[in-house]
Amino acid sequence: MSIKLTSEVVRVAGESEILVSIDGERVKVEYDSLASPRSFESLVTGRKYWEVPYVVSRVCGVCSHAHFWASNLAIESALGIKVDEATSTLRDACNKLQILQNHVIHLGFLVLPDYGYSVGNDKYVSTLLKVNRVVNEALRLLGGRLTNPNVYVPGGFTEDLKQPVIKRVVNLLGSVGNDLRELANIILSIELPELEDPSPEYVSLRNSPSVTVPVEGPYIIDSSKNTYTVYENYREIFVERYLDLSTSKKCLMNGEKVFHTGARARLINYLKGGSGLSSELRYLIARYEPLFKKNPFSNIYAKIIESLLIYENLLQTLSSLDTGKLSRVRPGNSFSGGFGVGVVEAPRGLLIHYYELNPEMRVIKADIITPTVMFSKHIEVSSEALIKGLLASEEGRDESLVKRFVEALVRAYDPCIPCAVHVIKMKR
Amino acid sequence: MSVRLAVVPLSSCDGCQYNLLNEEFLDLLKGLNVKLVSWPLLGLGDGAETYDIALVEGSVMSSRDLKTLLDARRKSRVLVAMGACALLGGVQAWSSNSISRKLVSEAGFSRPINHYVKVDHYVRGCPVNVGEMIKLLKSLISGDLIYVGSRRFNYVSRDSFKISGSLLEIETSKCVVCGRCVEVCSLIGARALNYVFKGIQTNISTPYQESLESAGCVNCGLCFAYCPVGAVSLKTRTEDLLDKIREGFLRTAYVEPEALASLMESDNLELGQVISAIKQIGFTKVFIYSNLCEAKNSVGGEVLARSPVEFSILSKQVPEHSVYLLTPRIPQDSIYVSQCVSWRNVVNSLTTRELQSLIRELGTEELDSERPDGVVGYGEDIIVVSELKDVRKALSNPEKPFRKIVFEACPGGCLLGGGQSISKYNDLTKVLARRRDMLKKITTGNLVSQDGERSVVNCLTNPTL
Repeated sequence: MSIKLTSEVVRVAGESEILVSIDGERVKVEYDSLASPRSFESLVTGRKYWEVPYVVSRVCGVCSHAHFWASNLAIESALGIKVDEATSTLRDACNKLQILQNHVIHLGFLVLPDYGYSVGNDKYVSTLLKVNRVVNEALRLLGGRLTNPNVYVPGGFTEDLKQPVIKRVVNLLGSVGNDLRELANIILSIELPELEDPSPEYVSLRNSPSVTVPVEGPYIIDSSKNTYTVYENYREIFVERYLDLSTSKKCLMNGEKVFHTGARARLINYLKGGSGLSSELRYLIARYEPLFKKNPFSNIYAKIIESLLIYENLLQTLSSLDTGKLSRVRPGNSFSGGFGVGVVEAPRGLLIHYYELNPEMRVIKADIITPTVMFSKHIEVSSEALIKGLLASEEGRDESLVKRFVEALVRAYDPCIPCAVHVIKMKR
Repeated sequence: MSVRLAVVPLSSCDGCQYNLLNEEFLDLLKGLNVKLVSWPLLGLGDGAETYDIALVEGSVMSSRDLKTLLDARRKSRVLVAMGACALLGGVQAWSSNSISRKLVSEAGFSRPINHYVKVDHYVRGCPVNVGEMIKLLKSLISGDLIYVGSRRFNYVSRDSFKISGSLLEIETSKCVVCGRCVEVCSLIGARALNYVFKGIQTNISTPYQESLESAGCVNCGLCFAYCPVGAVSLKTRTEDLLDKIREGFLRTAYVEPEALASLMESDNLELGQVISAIKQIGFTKVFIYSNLCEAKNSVGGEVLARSPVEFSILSKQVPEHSVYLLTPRIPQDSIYVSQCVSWRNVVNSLTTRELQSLIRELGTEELDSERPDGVVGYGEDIIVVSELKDVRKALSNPEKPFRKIVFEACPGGCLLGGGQSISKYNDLTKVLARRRDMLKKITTGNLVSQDGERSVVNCLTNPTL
C-alpha cells in the first residue's frame, strides 16, 4: 500500500500543511509551515532596549502577552533590574489570562468541531462566548489591550493600576466559574482516539502552571526526570537541527530527545510540586494523569483542566494582590553590555527570549525559541505512530480517515504558526 | 439574502483575527444577517465562489500570499484592509529598513496589500480596532456609507445634523463642504455659518449648532441660492400657497421687475410670455410692482432697506442712522413675487425660484403673450447701492445729490438675490449682464416713470463664486 497525501490544516493559528507518505510499512510525516518567515530577530537588532518588547510582542497576536513578558524579563536580566513581587504577580496574571483565553478559543472554536460539535450549536457557543468575553475584558483591564500589550516596560508598570480595577477583574472572573465548568464538562465528555505516545518526554517550568515564570533563583526546567538550569546554556539544552533528510529544522532536548511542551507537560510535571489545589482539581488531575502520560490527544483534556486550575489560581492571587506595592525600577546610567534570558510558560509551552545588549543598550543579538518549534517534531513522531496504528486495522486504511485523524491530532497540539515562523524557515 | 463575509489571512501574527473572535463581533454578524463563508481559522472556506466583503489581514511577503490576495480580490465585491500589516506592511516591513536590510536575506519584503490590488476600505490598528470594524461593517451593510473620493480612510462618515432657522434649513448629510455658503454668508456680513471640526470630519455649521437666527442669520437665502447640492432648503410653503391660489383666495400677483427679468433670462422668455405663464398658474391679474415705489412714504428714513435682510443688517451696522423698510403695500388677497426669500415672514410671497419651478411644471412652450394688468413703478429720486461701505459713503456725502439711498445687500443687487431663479449660465457676471438687459427692456417698455436712476454699485464678480 502506498499513499501520499498533503493537507492544509485549517482551524489552527496560521497556515500550515502536513505531508504524509505511506509506503508499505514505512510511514513518514512532515509538518511544515506555509507562512513566510518574518525575521523578528533581525528587526530588533540595532534597536534600543525599550523598543524590543513592543516589536516582539507582534511575533504572535495569539500569545502576545507571553512574548511581551519574556522579552521584558530577558532585558531586565541583561540590565540587572529586579522587579518587585507585586509587578511579577500582575504580569503573571496577564499571562495566565492569555493562557485561559487561548485555551477557551482553541477548545471551543478549533477543537470541538472535530468531535461532532458545530459552531451552530447555540447552547455551547453562547457559554463559550460568555467566558471568552469576560476573559477578554479582564485581560483588557489588566494588560491594557487584548493583543500587543503596552502597560509595562522593563522595570515595571508604567501606569498606576488602581485597586478597584483588580476588584472588578476578580468580580468579572467570579461570574464565569459555572460557565467554565460547564465547558469543562463538554470537553471532558468527548471521546479521544486511542494513541500511545511514542516519545514520552515533557518539558516545563517546575512551578507552572501555578506561576508561569521561574521563581526560585536561576531558571529551572523540569523534565520527566531531570532538572536543568537554563541560562546562557539554553542553546545546548534546546538544539535545533535538520533531521532525517528533512529540510525543516526541528528542536530537540539535549540534541537527542523529541519532547512535548505545553498544557500536558505542565500538568504532568506540576504533580510533583503541586499543593494548595481544591479537591475538585486534585481529583481531576489524579484521574487523568495516566492518560496525559499515554495519549497526545489528551492535550485537549489537559488544556481545560489547566484552564480550571489557572482560573482558581487567578482568583486567589488577584484577591490578595496589593497594587500599592507596585514600583518601577529604572535602569542605571552605567552599563557595560551583557545578555539576558527570559523564560515563561506561553499558552502552548515554553518560550525563551535571549537578548545581548551593547553598552549603548542597543540589541546586538536576539534569539527566540517558541513552543511550536519545540514540539513540531513531536507532532510528526506521534502522527507516524497514529497512522501505523490505523493501518493495522482493516477499516483504518481509508485515505480520508487517515487525513481526518492526523488533522485532529495536529489540532490537539494547537501549533501556532506565526510564532513558529518568526525566523526559522520551516518550509522546504 | 445574507451578506457573505470572508476573512483572508496573509503574513501576519493572526492577532486581528483573534480580536474579531469575540461575542460582540459574532453577535453583530448574526444581527446583520451576515454569513461567514470563508475563515480558515474556523475551518470555513474553499466552497464559496464569491464574497460580498473580504477582510484581509496581513501583508504580502511571498508568492503564496499574493496568490491568496489576488484570489480574494477576484472573488470579493468589497475588499477591506484589516489592521496595520495589510494597511502599511506591518512591523515586518521594517525588514526593508537600512538597519536590518543586511540581516534579512531569506525573508521577502513585506508590502501592504494596496501595492498589488485595489483596496476599498481601510481599518487601522495593531491589532485592528474592532469598534471601527463594526462601524464599517454596519455602514457597508446598511448602505449609509459616505464616499468622499479616494481618500485613505474613506469610510469615516461625518456626523450629520440639521441646522434650522425660521425660513432655512441645512442638512449636513447632503453637504459636500464646498464652502460657498460660508463665503456668501461672510460676504453679506451675517457670518452665521462657518466650518466646524477638523480634517475628514469638517462640516458646515453655526456655532454650537444653534438655530440660524441666533447665530446672526438675516434670511437672505444666499446659501440656498449658491448651494450646489441642495443641502440648504427653504422651509417652503409653496403647496399651501398653491392651494390658496386654486381655491381663489389669492387672485392677484404683484411681481417685482427684477424677478421678471431673471425669469426671462433664465428660461429665455419674453415679458408677455412670463405674464401669461403666471396667469396660467391661477392668477387672474398680474401687476408689475416694485417696492421701491414705497420710498415716497419713507418719512424720516435716512437709508431705505429693500427687504428685511437689509433692515437687519443696517440696524446692526449703522445704528446711528434711521432705517426704513420698504414694505410692499398690496391687498390681502394678493401674492408678492419677489427675488428675496426674507419677505416670507412679512407678506404672502413667492420667490422667483419657486415661480420658475411652477412655470417649468406647466411647460414654457406655446405660451401666449399677454400684457400686465398694471405697472407700479419706481417714481422717486433714489440711488441703489449694494455694499455696506457704499451706504456709509453715501451717508457721509454732505452734498446729497439724491434724495434717498436704497440698500440692496445681496452681492450683485436684487438681480442676483437669494430667491432668484436658476440660470443656465455659471458665469455670474454674464448672468447679471443678461438680467440687466432684460430689466432695461421691462422698464423702458412699461414703467410709468424712469427718473429713479438704478446704479448698482460694485457688482459681484468674485471669481470663487
